[in-house]
Amino acid sequence: MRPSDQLAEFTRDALAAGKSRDDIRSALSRSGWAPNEVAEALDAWAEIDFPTPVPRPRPYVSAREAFFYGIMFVALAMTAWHLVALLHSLIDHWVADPLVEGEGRYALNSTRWSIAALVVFTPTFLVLNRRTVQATKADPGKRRSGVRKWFGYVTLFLASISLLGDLMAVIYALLSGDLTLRFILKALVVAGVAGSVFAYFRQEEYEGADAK
Amino acid sequence: MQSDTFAPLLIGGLVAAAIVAGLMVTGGPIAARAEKRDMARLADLRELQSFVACRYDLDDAVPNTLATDERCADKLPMADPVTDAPYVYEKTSATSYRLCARFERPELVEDYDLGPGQWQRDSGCFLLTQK
Repeated sequence: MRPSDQLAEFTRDALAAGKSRDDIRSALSRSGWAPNEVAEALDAWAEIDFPTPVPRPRPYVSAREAFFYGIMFVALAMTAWHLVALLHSLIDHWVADPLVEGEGRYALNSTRWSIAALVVFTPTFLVLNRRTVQATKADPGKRRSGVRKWFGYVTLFLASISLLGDLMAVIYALLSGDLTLRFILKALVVAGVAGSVFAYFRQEEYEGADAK
Repeated sequence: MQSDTFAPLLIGGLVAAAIVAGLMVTGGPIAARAEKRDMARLADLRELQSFVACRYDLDDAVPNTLATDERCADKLPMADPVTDAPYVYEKTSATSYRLCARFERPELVEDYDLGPGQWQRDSGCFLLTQK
């Protein structure tokens, strides 16, 4: 049984047993539930006079949360992807391989796409992340949001796919005769960005577990 | 420093540095506009090149000057669309010639921009040979 189901069941049982809402609230608070979770659990049942607790209609997931975390994690994935792409273009430009012909204007265009993506998505991610940090400080229960967990893992999935693809390309380059300083720098970039993304999520998870 | 303020600062700093470096490599909007004008010049030179190739097929020699010839093209781009400076055409032998334009970012022009040409960055000319 999921924790939220347990909470709902407990609340229903307590209301059915005739406990007052204040008693239930204080019992839940003492057990470590966050104020918004307690309020939500109690709001699920209508305050009318009836022998058994009467449920109120509930939205299934919060659309607002889905929007918010969806944008935030897409922005994170785009930032990670294009940071790797931009740093790889810069390495190509600065660390010349005498055996490889330059790609000329084609390389410039992909660099410009990466710059545009970073200009848009990095500030978006930073602003939303800051708001999330502040919101969860004020209300630790937000960390247990199912929407947030789902979007987090979907993003982690996308970021992993893109970084694994980069890693694959780098290894292909190694096998096709590009064992050069370029290769080493590019591999370091992939490792660095992948490491940061995973560290970010591990911290999220850790603090999420901490808030339980 | 706390990790939840340090990490965003690190990301922001790294991304900003990468963007600045990227702009230095690609050039800003002004330089990109210059690159666009160079593309237009290259397109004109390509048109002139195919005109010369057409004349060569008909006459077995590259023409002495770039005079319009209705057998090959009705209208030729004779001058730079931006500065109106005429493109330079020089016959160097019966089978070879030079085509020149004043490019704003000559460092981005490559041999393959004009078919089998040989790009000479200092003079802004392509050396072309008909076979």
